Formats: sequence, structure tokens, C-alpha cells
Amino acid sequence: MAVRIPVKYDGTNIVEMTTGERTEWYAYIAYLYAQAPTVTLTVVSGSGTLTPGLTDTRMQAGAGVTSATAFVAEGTTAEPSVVTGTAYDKITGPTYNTSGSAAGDLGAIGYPLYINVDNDLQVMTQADYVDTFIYATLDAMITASEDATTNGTYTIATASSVTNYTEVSGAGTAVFIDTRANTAAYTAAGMPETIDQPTNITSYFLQRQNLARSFPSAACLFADSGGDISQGPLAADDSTFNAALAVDIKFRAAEDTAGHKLSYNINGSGNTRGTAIVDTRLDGAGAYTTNLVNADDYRAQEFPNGSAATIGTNTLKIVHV
Amino acid sequence: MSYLWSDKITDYYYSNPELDTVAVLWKDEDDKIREHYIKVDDSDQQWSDFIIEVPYEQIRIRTEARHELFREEFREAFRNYAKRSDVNLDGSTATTESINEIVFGFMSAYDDTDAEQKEELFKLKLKIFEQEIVRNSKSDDKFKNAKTFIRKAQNPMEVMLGYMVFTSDAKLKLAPTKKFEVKGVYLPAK
Repeated sequence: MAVRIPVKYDGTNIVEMTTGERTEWYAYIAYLYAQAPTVTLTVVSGSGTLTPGLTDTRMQAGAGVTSATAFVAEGTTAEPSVVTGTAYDKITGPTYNTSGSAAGDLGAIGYPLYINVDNDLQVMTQADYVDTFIYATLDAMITASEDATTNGTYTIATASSVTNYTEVSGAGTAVFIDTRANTAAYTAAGMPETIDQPTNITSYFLQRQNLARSFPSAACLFADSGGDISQGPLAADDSTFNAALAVDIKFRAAEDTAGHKLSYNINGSGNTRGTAIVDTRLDGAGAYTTNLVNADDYRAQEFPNGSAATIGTNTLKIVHV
Repeated sequence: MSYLWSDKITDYYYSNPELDTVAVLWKDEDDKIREHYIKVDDSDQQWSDFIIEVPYEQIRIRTEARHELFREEFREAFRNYAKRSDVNLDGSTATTESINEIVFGFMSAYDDTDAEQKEELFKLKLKIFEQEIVRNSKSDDKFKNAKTFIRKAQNPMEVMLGYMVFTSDAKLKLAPTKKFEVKGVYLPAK
């Protein structure tokens, strides 16, 4: 078994498909997979199984202090501190649909033709076909770069609506919300301010790619029982061969035992999908603020300040297992 | 190569002092600026694709520019503070540490809970990365690992030890684990 290069008819000769034409086939097969993915992630309200869960943190003000004689010095006022916000464990999976089975062997002439080492046309075996079409597509599906060959797989985006993607929760539920202290909410006049005044900075959403179908521009060639060569259908996805592609990509994605099964994890091995999910905080030492309300009321407080710094970075990874 | 940010990038910068995450700002179809974060990881395809489009040097320059903007905001805030009548700026209480004392204190007693020192560590890393000997270093594992070591350095001493891989033929001893971990640094006697 081996990866073969399918042949096509270019109008004059029988020639090997180009890399681009083979990639179009991978995209088409990925589309077939995307119609009913067998490896799924879901967004849940809590206790999701895709670990580690993520925790949002932010800075909060130190407690305000009041004196009747003078402002309490900066060295004495409470410093801004870290507050641990919501813990997010909203992704469950990967869940495998193992109800499928491999397509049956299409027989001696059921698979596309390729040119062998003797420069003769030869029909692929079933194992060749799996390597050439199914495994090659599954390899393309786990790349970090997302295009038509990654259809049906998942990514993280900072928008709930992304062209060619479906937001998995269906309700705009973020899998992580990064918050920071809302510096505009802390005012001298408002002292003593509520110490924790957060604002949402970035929401992260789990998205599944759902690109529309596009057919390969080059048709495979097949042998027929009379010893002639026929051109396979370009746009007839109900053909026997195309039906096998749809069955096998779904089966191998969820149940392959030769290292091509799809899987997802957080911060593990594999390629990063979409944006990393980051927890950010303001990095300043605190803005010492005072307010003389009247001769007997001196107020001081330290507010969160500084610029945003990333404290934790988490990535959704896609990998073969 | 196709990412949400492909051909739509408006800005980018290191988003933390560890230099292990880059924020990428990109414009979506509705002209809204979106944030996208990429972990600095030479083994990650997305990061590799990103630095083909945006070289390290450009990230450093944009990061410096962004920090300068924040510094200017700070200066402005300080100027406003200094104008207040109740502020004493006659210098009578200012300490007069020598440069030696400052440098020695920073190198030997680095305080990772001090925001100002963390900022200085960040700037030191950027300074190292802009050195010609680092920028023009070969792309073999020795130098790639040294850059990772500098990025992950927790204090100024570690940064300088990583720098010595470029300047003094120092060698990193890596732990035999999948995760990047430096067990020690070998320094040649000469």
C-alpha cells in the first residue's frame, strides 16, 4: 500500500493529477466529512471534559481608606490585588461516533487508476485508495492553516459569527471571556470605589468550519470490465466511489487504528487551531488616588492601572491519535 | 496558508514580558478590529506561518512603539501629577544610587513581583533580540533554543546566560523531555 497519484484525462493525454488537483479532492472529501462529522466538540454550561479548564483573572483596587486628618500615604493604602474570576470548562469532547464501519472493497476495478513504476496504468488497491484519498485528507485536516481541506473541524475565534463557520453552541456562548479591571469605572469622586469593577475584553467562541461544497476540477479515471478506461463523474456524489469516500472519511476520522484518528486537546500536542485563548491583566503597580471631600474627610485608594499583559495562554490543538 | 488574520493584519506585538505570546490585530469583513493571539512556539505551524509574514524584527519594532506610546501616556500623567501644588519634587528625598548599585541590584536581586522590574526585564529581552549577533544568528537548534531560553527567562541573569550562547559560545543543557526545559548552561572558561 502506498500513496498513489491518480491520473486524469487532460483532453489529449492521460496524465497524473497535479498537487493542486489532488488538494481539491481532499477538500471535497473533507466536505463529505463535514456533512456529519464523527469527531465532535460541544459547548456545555460547565464541567466540560476537554481539560484543562481555563480561569479568568484580573486586577482589583485596594480597599479605600478615609482619614479625618490627612491622606493615608501610598505606602499604607492597600495595593491592587489579583481577583480570580470565572472558571471556564465549557468544551466537551472529543466525542467519537463509532457507529460506522469501513466501506466494502470495491473490487479489482473499483478504484481510480494511477501510473505504476513500469509506466503502465494500474488500478489502486483498497489500501492504496485509503492512503491516497482518506489518510491524505485526514493529514490535511489537522493542519493549523484552515482552508477547504479542514472542513468539519474546529477552531477558536474571537467573534461569534465568522463566515464559513458555525458557532458550536448555537447561542453565542463564549467558551472563555477575558476580563480586566475597568479603569474608567474607578474615579476619585467615587471613592471608596467598589474594589472589583471588571469589563469584558475578549470573548472566545468555538467554531466548526462549514464550507460549501466545491467539486474537484479533475475527474479520476477508472478501468471498466471491458478493459477500457472511463472517466469518473465530477459532480455525481452518488457514485459508488464517492459514496465510499463519504463512508470511509467518517469511519477513519473516528475509528482509525493506524494513527489517523482525529483528536483535540488544550495545550497538548498537535497544531494550534485559531486564536490562542489568553487571560490578560493590567500590569501596573497601582494608581494612588486621593480625594479631599472636606476638611475632615481625606480619602485615598489605589486603582488598577498599567497596560494589558498576557498572563496565561491556552491553545486548542488538533492532532492524530 | 489561510488563517482568519491572513492578509488582514493591522497590528501585532508581544503581549507579555515573557515574549511567549503575540497579539495580532486584524480587520474582519465589517471593518471591525479583532484580536488573535499566537503562542510563540517554533514547532507550531501557525507561528511558523506568521513569522514568514511578519518577521521577528517587525514584531520587536511594533512592540517597542506600543510601549513607547504607553510610556508617553505615563509621562503625561506624571507631568499632570507634578503640576499639582501638593507635590514636592525638590529632590531632597531622592536616593542617589550609582549605576553599579542599580545594575547589581537588578541582576542579583530581581523581584518578579515588581511591575517596574518586570518591565525592565521585558526591555532587556527586546534589547537582546535586536542585537545583530542575535538577529543574524544561524537557524540551527543551538540558537533557536537559546532564543526560546531568553524568551522564557524569569530573571535578568537567565537572559544574559542565554545571550552568552551567541557571544561566548555558551551551551544550553536541555532536559531529555518533550517540553522545553533547560537544565543548565555550560560556560567555556575562556
